[in-house]
Parts: sequence; structure tokens; C-alpha cells
Amino acid sequence: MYLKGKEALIIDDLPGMRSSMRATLSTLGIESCDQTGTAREAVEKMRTKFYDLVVCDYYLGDATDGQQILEMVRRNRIISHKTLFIIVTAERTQDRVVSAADFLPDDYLVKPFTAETLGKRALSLLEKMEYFQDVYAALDDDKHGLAINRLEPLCANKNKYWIDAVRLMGGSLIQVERYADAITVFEEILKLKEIPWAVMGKVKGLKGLGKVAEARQLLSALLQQHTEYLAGYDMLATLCAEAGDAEEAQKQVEKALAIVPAMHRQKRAGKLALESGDIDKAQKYLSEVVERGKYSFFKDPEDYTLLSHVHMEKGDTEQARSVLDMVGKRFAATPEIKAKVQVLKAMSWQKEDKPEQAKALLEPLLENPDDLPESVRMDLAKACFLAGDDEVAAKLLSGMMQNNHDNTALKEEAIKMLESVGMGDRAKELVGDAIQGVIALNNSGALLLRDGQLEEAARLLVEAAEKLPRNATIVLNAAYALLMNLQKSGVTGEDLARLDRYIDMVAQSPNPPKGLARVQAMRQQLKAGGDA
Amino acid sequence: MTAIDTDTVLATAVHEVKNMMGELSLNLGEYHRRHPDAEVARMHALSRILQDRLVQILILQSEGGDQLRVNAEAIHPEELLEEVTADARLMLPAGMAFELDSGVSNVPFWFIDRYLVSQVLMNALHNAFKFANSRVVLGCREAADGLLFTIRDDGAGYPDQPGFRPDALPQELKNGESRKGTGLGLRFNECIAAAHGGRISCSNDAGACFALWLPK
Repeated sequence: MYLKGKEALIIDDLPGMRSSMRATLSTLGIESCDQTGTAREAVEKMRTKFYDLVVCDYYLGDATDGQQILEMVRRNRIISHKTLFIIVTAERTQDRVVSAADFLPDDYLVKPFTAETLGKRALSLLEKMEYFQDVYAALDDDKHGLAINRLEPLCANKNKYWIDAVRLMGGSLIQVERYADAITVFEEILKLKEIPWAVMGKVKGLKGLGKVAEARQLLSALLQQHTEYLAGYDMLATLCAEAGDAEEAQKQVEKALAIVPAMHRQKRAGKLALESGDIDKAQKYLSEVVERGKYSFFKDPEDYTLLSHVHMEKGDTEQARSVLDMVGKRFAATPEIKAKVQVLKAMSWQKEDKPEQAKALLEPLLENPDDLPESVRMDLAKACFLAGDDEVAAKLLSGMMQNNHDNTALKEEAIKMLESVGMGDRAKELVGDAIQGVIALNNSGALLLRDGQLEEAARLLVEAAEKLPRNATIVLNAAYALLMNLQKSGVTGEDLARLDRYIDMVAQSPNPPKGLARVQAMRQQLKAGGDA
Repeated sequence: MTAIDTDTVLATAVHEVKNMMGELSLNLGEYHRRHPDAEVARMHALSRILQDRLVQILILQSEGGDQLRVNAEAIHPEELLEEVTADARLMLPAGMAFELDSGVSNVPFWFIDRYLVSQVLMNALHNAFKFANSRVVLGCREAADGLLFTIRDDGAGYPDQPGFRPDALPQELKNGESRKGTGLGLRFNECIAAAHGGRISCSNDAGACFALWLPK
């Protein structure tokens, strides 16, 4: 009766397995137990109720697995570290898949197991939770700086939780961009044994330091030894894609797909194929994603918009529109999704040489283009170029570039887009020059900061931030300058309020820049110092 | 029609039998919980042993014993021992004494594949329960820069090892049931030890002593 009074949730698509798991849990003293067979209901239940323990089967039908549910609820903070999430696998092969994923469950058990085993595991997990409770609380609040402080004494204690402490430490160091320190920490583990997740931690550190070649080499060696380490292929694909090698990235994703045909990787392979111009393969992957995801909780409107792109590339505009029509039927349409569908449909009409139909769809969107997300604005600019509205398009594009002057991926996307509409010769003007002014402003601020002219730096960067409030990097730099200035000259209410507003704006931006966590950690310390 | 590959069919069939056995085992366990009964307990234990055997066949077949993939994690040995002990107690024959002799409470962790190593220990324990007269001891300590698990019983010992005492065979096994069995368990245990860079040994010392040694 170890677990008396705990609330549990059982997720399994087979009713028989649910009731036997329920019986197992009741022998452990758990009387209150909810159960469900679908991902949608599981997520809904976790959203509305706190569970101490979730026992989730790995296999939940063709398009869903327990790993996806875990990732979704942890990534979106639907459950905190206070909930134990245990994945049950039917085979040892699945067990290897789970342990090679990026998001790990608290534990996984291979069927068959006895109530005694489950009980013992749950008990030792609860003990571990108590040991790390202060660290988990900091992590649940995204306060990695604080987590690092709390982990320091735990990392000095070589007890049975030492490995966990070091692993958490490495993860948080990566988050606050202390890459060299993170590498040192992971290497401590690697001295004992070549454990895949520790190699992966080191790879992330190397990537952060910009040592991409070394990171790739290390990963390739790891994958030769641990051929089923899925997170390794994912990471290698990311490194290749970032280096502009979509083809090689696709190959790596395909290797992982050969081990587990997970939907999210099919989608990634499809996207990469589309990018590298392998339209047939893109069609193969993306059609399958749409088909498999039809009844899945994890379907995404983007699956459909990508597939519509494929059909357009193949010249089948009618098919492209019919795929887009499905979006309205299968998803609750947010303004963003609606806008995206409208732009793509407009493009399909342009392809058919029917500019009137296209115009009717584009005009309403051009009324408030600033409200649209980047992905839609890029397509909108493209559609405008195609419609011959070069000036409208140019304005859209240069505004976007100014707000994202340091986003190289977006810059490349913009150049590719310009080339695709025959405007390659305007790339320098619309992308390069637009960015140049912002870079100059940002650089003068940085120079002032380096020279210790904190007040002047803060003034300049705040001015820039007010001019380009959607540029998360500029706003973050302004926040950093304010912080430095506050540290030196003491805290004033007005600047502090501005600082918090800036941090908030950056945190809300669609792609928060990497330094955010560090600035947040510094802000936290400023508070600690003020309180003392 | 596509040609049917016999290996695949066999693997799938074993798989299915394993799952059915799992269901049977669950039901028997459930039944036993509601109506405790020695006979049902014995059937439950037997179904679990069968299930483990089937799992082992599948692992050996699908991963080809020599390239068994080890999923090494940092495991607290004491926790592993407690887990195995609790599980083994469920199939302990009536009247048999079973003890844990752990000398590893101070060992914080060891990199092992918990699932595979538990399987080896359970295998050896099944065996010991069958051939012991009255007592089985599961031990663990650090030895020769490694971790040494031992399972000792007070039976006759291994017939092919020095120190075998045929007189000490338990009554019901006197009619000659061989300790060797099909060789499946032995092969499985060897493969798992090797995949960890370790080894197993079988010797006699006032009964059988099975040992699994895993290096650092």
C-alpha cells in the first residue's frame, strides 16, 4: 500500500489493459484512478486535474504514441515535475526507442511487470522527486540560473542521485549558454562511460560554441556505436540543415525513420525534401503525414499547407486548393491559420493565371500585415511580387528583415523567395540594406557597453528598441544594457519596469533569442540582491 | 503471393504466444489476489517463467546473441536487488527460505541494462528455487573492480562441476531431471554478461553457486 492517496491516470488504447493496470494500482493503494484511451482526452485530463502518477502505454494506435503525449505535456507545461510520468512498453525494442528520445519519461517499464515492480519504482521516483524538489521548482519556473545554484551542492555529493544531478546541471548550463561549463560537466560522466545522453549534452555544448565540425564528428561516432539513438539522428539533421545541407539532413532523418516511422519525423523529412527540391519524396512523406494524422490529436495545419506547396510545385493547383480546404474542416481556424490558407490559395490562383481571384484573397490581408506571423508575411510578400505589387511586397519584406536582422535562416529564406519570383537582383537592397541600418545601431550600442558607457548604451538601445519593438534581439540587448546600468548605479523604479516589460516582450516573441535565459537569470539575481 | 519467410513467421508466432501468456499471467495474478490459493500461486509463477522464457527466445532471436544491444543506465544496485527480490518472492515455493545479502548499499550507481540484468537474475533464481532443498541467497558485492552478483542454493549443485552431491537432490527431482534444461537460460545469461563486458560462472560450494560479474 505504498501509494495510498495518490491520484493516477492510466493511458492505454486497450480497455482490458486499462482495467488490469487499474487493478495493479489498487493493490498499491491507489483508489482514485482515471483512465482514457485517447491522446486528446489524456491531455485534457492532465490540463484540468493534477495527477501524482501517469502510467501511459507506448503504443496507442497507428498515429499516436506515449512519447508524443509526454513531449506535448512537458513542453507545454501541462504537467510539472511534480507529476511522475511512466511509459509502459510492450517490447524491449520500444524500450530502446523511449530511452533514445529527447524528452525522457521519469521511468519506463517493459511488459510484463508485477505490481511490486511498479510500486517499488514509483516509490523510489517519489524519493528522488523529494531530493530534487527545489531544483524541479526552479526548472518548472524556467529559472535555470537558480536551478544551477541549487544543483551545485548536489553535484558535489556522489550519492545515488549524482548522475541525475550532473545531468540536470549540464542541461541548465546549456540553457543559460554556459556552453564550456556544460561540456566540462558532461565530460565528467563520459570519463566513467560513453553514455549517449552525455555525448549528446557535449554535442549541444559544442554547437553552442560554434564548433559544428567537432560536434558532427562526435555525433557520427556515437551513432556508429549506438545505431538506434534517435535523438542523435535528429541532432545531426539539425546540424546539417543549419549548415545549409538539406539533402544530408534528410538522409539522417530517414535513418531515424527506418528505426521508428514516427509522424513528426516523416514531416521533417518531407519539409527537407521540399527544401532541397526533391518534390516526389516530399509528396510521399507529406501525404502520409496527412493521411496518418487524419484522426490523430497530433495533426497540425502545417502538414496541410506543406502538402499544398508540394502540389503547387507539381503544377496541380486544384489539388493544392482541395488540401487547403481540408484545413478549415479539420481545424479550429485561428486568424493565423486562416491568413496562411488565404495566401496559399491566392498563390494557387496566380499559378493558374487568374489574378482577380488572387487579389480578392490578398487585399484583406494587406490591411494589417504587421499582425501576421513571419511565416505568413513571407508568403504574402511573395504573392504580392507575383501579383506585380512590387512596392507593397518590398515594404513588407524590409520591415520583416528589420525586425529580424540577425535571423540568418529568415534572411536566406527571403533571398530564396526573391530568387523564386525573379527578384534576385533586389536582394541586396531589400534584405542587405534593411538589415544594415539595424546592425549599425546595435553595434554602436554594443561598443558603448564594452567601453563601460552603460548609461549612453542603454539610452541608444532603448531608443532602438522603441523603434523596432518586434526585433527581439534589439529589445533583449536594450534589456541587457538596462540591467548592466541598474547593477552599477542602483535600481530605479522606472527603468526596472521598462526592463521587465522588455524581458516580457522578448519572451513573448515567436523566436526568443538565445540570450533570454541568461538575462532572465541576471534579472533574478538583481532581485535577490535587492531583497537582501 | 509473396513468399513467406519462416523466421519471420516463427518470430511473430512466439511474440503472439508471449503476449497471450502475458494476459493469462495477469489474469492468474488477479485471480490469486482475490482468492489466495497455493495452487493458483504456483500456476501464476509458472506462467511468469514461461513468459520470461519466451521473451528470452525473442531477444536472442531478434538481436542475435552476440550483438545484444545494451542500454546502459546508471542504476543503484541496491534498488535493482530489492526489485528483483520482491519479484522473485512471488514465485517462491512454499517452505523455501529466500534471503538477500547485499554488500552494495554504499555503491551509488553502476552502468547496466536494468532490464537485461534483471532477466539474468530472475533466470538464476527460478533455477535455484527449483533445485534448492530449503534455502536460496541472493548476494551482491564489489569484487575485482566489478560488481559480483551471486545466487546460492543448498541443493545438490551442478552435476558437471566438482563438488556435485547427488545425495542432496531434492526429493521430487531424484528421478533425474537435468539441471541443464534446454540451454536457453544459460545461453541468454552468457550473452547478456558478454554484452556488458562481464561473465557468468557456475560452481558448487555446498550447493550450486551461480555468479554474474559485471565490470566498471
